[in-house]
Amino acid sequence: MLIMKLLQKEEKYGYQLIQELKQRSEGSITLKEGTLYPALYRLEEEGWIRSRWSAANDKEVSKKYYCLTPEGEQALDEIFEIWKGFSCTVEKIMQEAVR
Amino acid sequence: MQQGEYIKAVIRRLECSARKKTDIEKELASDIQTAVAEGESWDEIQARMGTPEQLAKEFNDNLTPEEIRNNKKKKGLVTAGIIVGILAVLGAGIIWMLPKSYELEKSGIFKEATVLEQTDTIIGLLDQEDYTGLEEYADDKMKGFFQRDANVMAGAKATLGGELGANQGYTSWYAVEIRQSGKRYAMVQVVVQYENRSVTYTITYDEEMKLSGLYMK
Repeated sequence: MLIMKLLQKEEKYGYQLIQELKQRSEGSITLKEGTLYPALYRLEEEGWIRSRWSAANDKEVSKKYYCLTPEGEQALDEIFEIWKGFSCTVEKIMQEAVR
Repeated sequence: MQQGEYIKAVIRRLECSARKKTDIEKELASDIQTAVAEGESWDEIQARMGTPEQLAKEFNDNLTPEEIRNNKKKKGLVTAGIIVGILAVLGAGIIWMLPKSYELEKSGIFKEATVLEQTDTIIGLLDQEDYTGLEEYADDKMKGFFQRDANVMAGAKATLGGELGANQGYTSWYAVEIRQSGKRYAMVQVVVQYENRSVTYTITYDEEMKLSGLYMK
């Protein structure tokens, strides 16, 4: 869900996703390549993201960029709704006073 | 460990399809080069990514059971394919080595009349125990055999049961072309009736009509 969210506004490459997630979570979420890439491949197989390789030039190496598809946008909304419901339930249980 | 070695070591340990391994290899290489371009040292990158074993394990732990199952199925199919291929090659090799016979009259190399005429000559030389004469018809291997010890031939004839008596002619003969291991031979089997008993000669000639095999019983 977080990967899809990071791809919502613009396409990004793998290293960029790892760095941004680490930065925006203030270091609490450190995603490694071994976890990120299998997740990206599964999201791509679902049709929720798509990828393209950029051309290499003198200034930078060729990179694989990922972006969210329209189906992915819809899926992200649905997944977020499920997460919100789950999160509320967990918080409710945790807030119950101990007698 | 250098970058290239590191990536190869990771890819070797992955349990996914060859196509996915190629994708991962390319992305890892790109990521590492990007990290270096953005100021990380190779040591820092390795420390972050972990050892090749650790990184590969992480990939494998995150592969779907279907990807692993498909890869195992493909490996199984490849293994089966290799085994079938090896057996086919072995089988073809065995078939190629096994002798196969063809009608001599249809041979493009041997003439039946020449084969029979030479056979006649050889049997005559054997009857006369003219082993020096036989050498002229023999290939190098057989020539060495005749030269080694004349007693060998005498001993061989003795196994036929003593004196044969006068040669009274052929009672039957049979000639074929034999093909084995890419070579061709003419083989003649002749039953000669002697005064005291009959002897079956099996005589083989190479493509140059040199005597390459002699069997008597």
